[in-house]
Amino acid sequence: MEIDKKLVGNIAVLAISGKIDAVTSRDLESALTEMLDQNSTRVVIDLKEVDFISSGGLRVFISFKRKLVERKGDLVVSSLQPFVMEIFEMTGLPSLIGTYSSQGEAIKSLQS
Amino acid sequence: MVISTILTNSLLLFQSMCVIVLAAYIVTRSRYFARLTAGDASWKNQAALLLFFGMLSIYGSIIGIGTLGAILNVRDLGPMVGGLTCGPVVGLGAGIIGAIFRLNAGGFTAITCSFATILSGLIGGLIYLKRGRFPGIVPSVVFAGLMEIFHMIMTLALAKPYSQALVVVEAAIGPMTLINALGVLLFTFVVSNFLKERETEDERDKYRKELERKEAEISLAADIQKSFLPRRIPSVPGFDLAATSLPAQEVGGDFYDFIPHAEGNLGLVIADVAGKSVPAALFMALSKTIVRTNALKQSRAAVVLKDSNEVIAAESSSGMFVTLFFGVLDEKTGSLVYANAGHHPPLVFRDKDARFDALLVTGPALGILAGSRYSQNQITIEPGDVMVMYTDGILEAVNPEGEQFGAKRLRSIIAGSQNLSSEELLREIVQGVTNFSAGQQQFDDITALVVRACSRDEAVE
Repeated sequence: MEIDKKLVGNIAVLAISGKIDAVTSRDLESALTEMLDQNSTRVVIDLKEVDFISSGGLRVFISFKRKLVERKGDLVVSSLQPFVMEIFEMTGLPSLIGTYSSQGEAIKSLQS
Repeated sequence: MVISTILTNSLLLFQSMCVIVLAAYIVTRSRYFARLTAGDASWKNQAALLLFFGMLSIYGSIIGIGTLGAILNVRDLGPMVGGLTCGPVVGLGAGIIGAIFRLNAGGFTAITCSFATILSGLIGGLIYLKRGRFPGIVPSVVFAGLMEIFHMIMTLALAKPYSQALVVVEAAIGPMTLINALGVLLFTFVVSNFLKERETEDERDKYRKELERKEAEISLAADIQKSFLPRRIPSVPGFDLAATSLPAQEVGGDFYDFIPHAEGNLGLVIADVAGKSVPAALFMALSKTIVRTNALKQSRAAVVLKDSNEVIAAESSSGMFVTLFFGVLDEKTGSLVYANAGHHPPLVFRDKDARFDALLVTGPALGILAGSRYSQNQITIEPGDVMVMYTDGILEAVNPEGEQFGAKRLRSIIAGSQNLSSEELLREIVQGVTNFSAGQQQFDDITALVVRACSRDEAVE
């Protein structure tokens, strides 16, 4: 798993590639904790290059979303591949975390 | 002549260094040294080491290598290393032994040399005392060099006649300083290796103990967790039930449960907590208790999940959640009212037309979002039908080629199971997954619950 960070205005965009499994979800968690320390509160996670996510990975998303909301921020995800979308939908995660079909739309949703 | 003297002396010097290394080796392997450096400064240990270093000092006198007008010796070495590695008692004691031997030998430097030997042991010991331990190789070597220079200055100052003392000191100061420093270097090198080795061993033992303790704790945790699962599969007239749960590690986050309700209704639960191992196991215990408590209070599946979700969401600050399927089976009619909180849809294989129904999700996984709504659905399990509830450890088991077991393989096992009991079908599924992922480590917890409605002929029997 690799994480690519960029800033669009004051919105942090994280493009993840690879698998988010039991092992890599820990790396993801520390990368996200680092973002909290840097006071990034509006975050887009782009999952275009992610082909697998485990339940442990979903947990990291939920936990991060809650922390951002506490800080008056928000987390949305974009560009989910079919398998990842299926897992998201089955678990009911879209009820908590906004999902968008493209990174642009996701960024726009946080700008308004 | 000069060359042969140099050769002889070099050889003697080399031999004395060999003896010093050997002495260091022997002393570090002795139990007295091991005990003393481990903190047991009993009189017995100190006395034994004191004698040993005293003998080394005597050896240092005997070895005396004659050079141009001076006799080089490593008399001070024993007391120095004794003091540096074992403390002032050993250092001073060894110094006194060496000094008495030297005094007996006589000569005009007898008194200053004896005094220097005692001082070597004492100061070495004081350095040890100040550091609270062996000070290390470099400080020891520096000390040895300085000590020998001091020894020489003292000889100049005190030994009479001065002119003779000057001759001796001039010839000896360089070589004496060098060979004593070299001797101490070799000796403390061996000692320092020994101490490091033991430190590593201690560390290793500590980790091993820690590991054993953790293993014991986790195996206890595994036993406790097993006790959370139903001890017996309930017997339900007209139905054949079987269930199993195999954690990937000692403990896991999957569970199943049977909850008896009034009037021949049985609650069926299968669940999968996010993540694995200990965190998942802790959350499993919490979720199982909450769901069970709610399910005992009332039997409307959707309400059980809604109420459970509120409690679990309030407890889950770390983002933990659990996907859970809850159904209430009416044994008289075969009706199953269920709600599915984000769990992999259980499969119902219809005997009549060999078709599968999937019991789809009716709300989000428990713990994700407080206030989530759940709906419930109803199906009827007809005689001959089989329902398989399972967790994703089955679908996501991978073979050596990295391929997943997947729903298709699961369905084909179920479809080919018409003549099997629930227990046998369960075994087929687990065996199928195990064979598929041959040799690969089981990656996720595997749990399944099978409910088969007995066919009409069986029911009559």
